[in-house]
Amino acid sequence: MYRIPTKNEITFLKRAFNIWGVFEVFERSSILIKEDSIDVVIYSNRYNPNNKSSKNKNCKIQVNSKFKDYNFDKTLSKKGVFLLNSDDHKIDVIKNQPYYAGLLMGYIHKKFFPSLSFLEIVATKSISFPYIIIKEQAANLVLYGRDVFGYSILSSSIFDENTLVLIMNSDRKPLGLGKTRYPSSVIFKENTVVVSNISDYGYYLREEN
Amino acid sequence: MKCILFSDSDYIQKLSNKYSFQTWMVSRYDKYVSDLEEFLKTINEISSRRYIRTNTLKISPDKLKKILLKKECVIKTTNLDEVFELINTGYPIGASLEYLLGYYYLQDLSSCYAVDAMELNENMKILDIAASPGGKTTYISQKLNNTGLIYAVESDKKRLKKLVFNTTRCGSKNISIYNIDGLSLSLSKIFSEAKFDNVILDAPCSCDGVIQKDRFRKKTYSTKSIDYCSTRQLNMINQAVSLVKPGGTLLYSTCSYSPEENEFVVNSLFDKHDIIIEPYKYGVPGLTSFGDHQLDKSLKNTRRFYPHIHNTLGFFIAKIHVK
Repeated sequence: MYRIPTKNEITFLKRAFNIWGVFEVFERSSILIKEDSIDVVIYSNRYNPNNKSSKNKNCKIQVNSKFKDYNFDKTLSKKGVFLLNSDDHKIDVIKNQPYYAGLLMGYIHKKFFPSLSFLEIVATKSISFPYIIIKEQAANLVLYGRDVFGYSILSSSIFDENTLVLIMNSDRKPLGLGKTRYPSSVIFKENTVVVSNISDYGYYLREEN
Repeated sequence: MKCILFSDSDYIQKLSNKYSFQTWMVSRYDKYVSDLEEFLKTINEISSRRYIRTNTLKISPDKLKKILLKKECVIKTTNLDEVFELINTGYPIGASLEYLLGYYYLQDLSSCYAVDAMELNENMKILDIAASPGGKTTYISQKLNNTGLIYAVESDKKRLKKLVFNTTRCGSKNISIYNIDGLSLSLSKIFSEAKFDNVILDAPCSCDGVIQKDRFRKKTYSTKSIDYCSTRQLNMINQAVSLVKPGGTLLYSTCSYSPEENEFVVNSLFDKHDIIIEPYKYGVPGLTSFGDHQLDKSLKNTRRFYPHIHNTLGFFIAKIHVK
């Protein structure tokens, strides 16, 4: 069910967009919230704490999906945030309740979890946001869902550990969303995974196949 | 509409054997395809051309061209500014970062012609029936420059996922996707009163136009699929045309060569609707007769695309202006 965001949600989203340096995008945009489940997986199943082979068992981020291969966490809020091109479109969506409308910007669950479409807006419009830039070979691995090692990082912004960061290649093209395991001051650790891959553009292909 | 069959000759029999086609198919092609042997040879022996359409919502054709050339791709321009033919890529073009970021869409040129034939202006309200996987939908979205509103209708739930995937990848904000059967649009509350500036119906068809890409279809293709598809198409086109605003356009297309799925379907509209068939600059004129059947003369304005003439997959386009 698509609806207009509540006052609290607007405040929450403005803050979230501000963290990623795209406050202006929110101001100019038509945003809707979709309450019920969304058929789009934005986070991989690698973070399933029940999965013994999971690389990061403490990570709480789960999959919002109907697909049986993915673990579905019922405690996860299913509030999708959607960006539409105009107020007319917004009114039309609220009236007609389509299956899917506009672009999914992310999910709200205590925190804001950005989608790949959101990350792309950040990469093209924002000048201040948490990021790491990685080498070309590592960029290819990220697109296969792999984590980032310290030796692969070329540069980064300043951040703490457990921060969501945009992973980019040397051309500053977005590759995916990561979660830092260390603060930026010690991010260049050799032979250690320093940023976990939360979602990446390779998802599109994996999902397609 | 029942599939029309013709008697075969030694020549038809010879060609059927030589190129492994069913005889009834070749005897039908013989009635409307120029240079039949070259047509069969192209389908049977030459790989279909590959094209990419630049997603101008994200990148200009010039910039994309530079990126592709830097990656040592060999590309060729086409009749459409934003569409390139891929001659040689050297890497999987459907798995590159540029593809994942939605800079381009792998789409046959004929399918791009269908959207090019539509007269699209910003802020238009468009209906796309049978929209998945979203090639035409996302092309329309970029032609509208992410303005206006596109209703993309798809009945198959499995195919919806693909449609969402492609609209998301291409960054289209002006699309609403509905899980409704194109045959029951008039029963839906949403569409019962709505009228659209343009409607595009790329109708589900028997798909002999894509045999060049999937040669297995030569053996499985049957008269039954033509009968079944043409009946469905007649229902769909009648619903589609009733959803066009007066002065608007219905773009009807299929990837089939069968006149029963193309010209005959469009011809049926003349009985109930006040329409004009408008020409399009590419393709060869549509048929005005087939077998003993005479069709409206204006059907010559519809367009057919053949692999041996146009370097595309087989395709049919009818641009129908609703008065």
